[in-house]
Amino acid sequence: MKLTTPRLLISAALMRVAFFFYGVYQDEHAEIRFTDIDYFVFTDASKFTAQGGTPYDRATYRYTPILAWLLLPTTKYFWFGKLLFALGDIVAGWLMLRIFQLRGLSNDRALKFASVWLLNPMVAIISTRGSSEGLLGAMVIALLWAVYEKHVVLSGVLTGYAVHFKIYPIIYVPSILWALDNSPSMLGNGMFRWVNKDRVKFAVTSFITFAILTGAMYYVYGHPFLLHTYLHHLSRSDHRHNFSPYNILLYISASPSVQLKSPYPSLAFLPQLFISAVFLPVMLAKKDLAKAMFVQTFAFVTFNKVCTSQYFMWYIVLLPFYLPSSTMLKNKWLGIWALILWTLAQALWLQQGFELEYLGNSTFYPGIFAATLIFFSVNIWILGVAIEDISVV
Amino acid sequence: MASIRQRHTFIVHSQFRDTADTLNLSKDKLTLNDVPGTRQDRLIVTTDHLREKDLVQAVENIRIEIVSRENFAHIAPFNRQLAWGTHINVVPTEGFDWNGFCHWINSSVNSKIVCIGQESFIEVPYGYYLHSQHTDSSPLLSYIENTYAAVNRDMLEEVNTANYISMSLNKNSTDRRTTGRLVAEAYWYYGRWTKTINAGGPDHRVEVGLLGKVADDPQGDLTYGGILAVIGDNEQFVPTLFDFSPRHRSVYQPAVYYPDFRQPYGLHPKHLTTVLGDISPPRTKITVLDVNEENGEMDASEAPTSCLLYGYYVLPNFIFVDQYQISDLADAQASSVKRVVGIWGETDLEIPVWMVDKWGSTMLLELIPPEQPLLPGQMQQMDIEIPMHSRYEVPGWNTTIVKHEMPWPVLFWACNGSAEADMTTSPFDSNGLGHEYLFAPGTMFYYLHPNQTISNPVNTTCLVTNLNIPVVPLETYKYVQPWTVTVILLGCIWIFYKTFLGFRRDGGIRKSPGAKPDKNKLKGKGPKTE
Repeated sequence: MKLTTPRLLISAALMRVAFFFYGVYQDEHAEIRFTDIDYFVFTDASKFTAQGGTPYDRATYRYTPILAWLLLPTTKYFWFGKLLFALGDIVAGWLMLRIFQLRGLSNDRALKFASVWLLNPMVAIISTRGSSEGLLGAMVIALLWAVYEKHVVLSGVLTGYAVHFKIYPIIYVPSILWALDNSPSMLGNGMFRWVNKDRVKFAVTSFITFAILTGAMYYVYGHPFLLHTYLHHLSRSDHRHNFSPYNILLYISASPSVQLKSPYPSLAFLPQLFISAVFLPVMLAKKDLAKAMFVQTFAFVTFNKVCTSQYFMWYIVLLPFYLPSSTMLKNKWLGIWALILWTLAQALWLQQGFELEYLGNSTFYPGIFAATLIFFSVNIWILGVAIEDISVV
Repeated sequence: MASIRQRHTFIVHSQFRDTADTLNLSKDKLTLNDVPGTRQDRLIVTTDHLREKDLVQAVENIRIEIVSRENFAHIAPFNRQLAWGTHINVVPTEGFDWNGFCHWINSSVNSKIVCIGQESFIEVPYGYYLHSQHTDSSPLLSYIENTYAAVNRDMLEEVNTANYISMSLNKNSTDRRTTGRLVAEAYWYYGRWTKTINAGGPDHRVEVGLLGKVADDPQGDLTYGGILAVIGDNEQFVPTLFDFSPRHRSVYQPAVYYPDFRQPYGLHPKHLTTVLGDISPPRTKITVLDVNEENGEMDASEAPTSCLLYGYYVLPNFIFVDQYQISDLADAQASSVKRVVGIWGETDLEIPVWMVDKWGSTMLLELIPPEQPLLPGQMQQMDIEIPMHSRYEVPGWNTTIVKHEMPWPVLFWACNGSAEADMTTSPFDSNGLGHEYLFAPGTMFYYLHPNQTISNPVNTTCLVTNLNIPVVPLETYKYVQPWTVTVILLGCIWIFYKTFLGFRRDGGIRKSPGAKPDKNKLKGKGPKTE
């Protein structure tokens, strides 16, 4: 049977429906719930909002109030959020196909590569467990689509919205600005010749959107909104075990056992932000924006101080743009090894994490520590290969 | 000069008879020789001459209790049960000097208790509460000794061995004898007593009573009888007989509970309390018996269920419950949890132990008792499984585990029905600031027995549960630091190197971003072209 756009989208939808019902079953029958803990955080926040409170009445709600508003129907239909997130997946996939078309990829190949996202069981599971990353994926692909469609204002609005939603898409601002070099300069040919119409439009619209949304939320919810949605991420010392290479370092150095105030929490921002928000945009954005955004996100997540498997969604949504002309596909074994190592490194970490979390064995060192560094190394290796690919346009 | 009322009560078996061998009362002293029984010592003193007058003035109600870890038998009429540890409860008035209070706690109760001000206390519905696992009572006894020189020193030394010590001051007490006075009590749940009790000086009344239970009526009211003497006043014991309605009682029927963490602990230990025995509401049972006796009928369904079963948990800072998870249990009526009455204190779901300011949290749960048995006295089992979470612990040298001890929860039936006034007339009434204050006045408490009769060889004598929390050994830091930094730096270098390689293959790094040598290459890729 030939793959067509409707067939692909329907299969993706059916897959999510299947996981959704499987989840309903597991939630009722198994000890470990299928539904993500965050989904309860979102739905509780919506419940509090519906009852006249604020989303921040729910401890650990760290998102924009817009998410709680979007999920208001969950107070009546608990599954509504999962539907919305899964729909986000599919919208992202559909826009992906549109972008492929604009990039001149053949329909067959476009469908094939969009399946990497749409028919990816990991993606479908994360969304049907009730994690909002699918929604974010749709936003990121939408803003990219707007750039390709030359709807500069729309892309600015979407970028401002996405940054308001989850901060990290701010790393796309420099690359989009850098890539928008096709309109006439506004300030002549001098030192400021780079100030062109598109760049100004994008900068202004994205900033205004971000400012209006954030200002409005601040107006409605005041300091708790700023504290929980943004400031928390700057000050948090997330010491609990996760995939980040900094994990054990931050755990020990943040504890009172280490007398000196640790410089690592702030130092860790340096390589991450320099590589993902400065170096890669400047080097790659003009060569291929979509691919540049993929490696930026990959680098951002790999160097992040906290890393859980939901964060992988952030770059997996952009992976289909990188794959078509990558050496990972040209050299099959390279691609297969990359996939195997990426999976094995995660499995190693998960095994050590399971021993710690469920059996109470102190696997922090060397187990989890080594697993984070191995996983980091595998990611960095893949990242390097991808960057070299993209550099050679 | 302080006025002191000193009282020694010995609860003896009803078969006990005083003979010249066991008791010898003379003009100015009483000698006891090998008297077996439960003992309570009580001092009621005025506070006018205290150095801490300012503290006392700005407080409405205060109670400090030190509970040893021994699993003692609770013997009527001293049935009040508390978790192991030192409990400090305060209901302050405006201008209470928290820092001064903490200073006093550290100098006169226990220097190890973490008390640096109001921020060390959790807010509870009736006031402020601090729990500590340090239970050395000697500083408190020295304090009493230094403050009230007239109190017999031997007596204080003995108090060191008590199972339970409390010191309280309640300005709102309905009991005239204790209102606004400092009340210090010590309890020994069992012992054989050989000692001499001397008469006090002026304004120092020393009273001794040897009492035993004479009767208990189906409503749970008690009648006690025995002999009393005020040393120095009475040359002979005076017989006494009185009845009272105790606030704290033991369940009539045998029901015991044993809490433990499920193995393996993991980072999310499950706290399982198994209750065994006849777990039926005390009042209902009594009413049923009434009906049975009077009408010859047995109709349990008509019995008024004015009793509800509760579990009161003290959770030190290394462990916490997720309020949402517990509420879910209640919503699903699972794990025997019917309702979360409240969770107070440190409930943050994320912070590690070193970022927790206060000592921990408390939780009061209403529980679902098992269905009433068809036959009275039938054995029942009930499991209360509470999902808990351990906090990340401080890394230590050469250790992969931090060992902790958690106090057992207290399980009780709370029943309404009596009038508060009836209870305060009891000479043994103890309306301690604590879980009682989470209930309306006049509530009666029937405690289940913590693992008294179930033969379990493990931990039968301790009211604490062990918990191990894994940590990273601190000595690994010297490897973690350089390895992390090196791997991160190598990662950066790899990225820069691969970018350089790519650009070189693409035709030179200089030509690239600005100069666009090959327009065709960009075609079909960049955002500018389609």
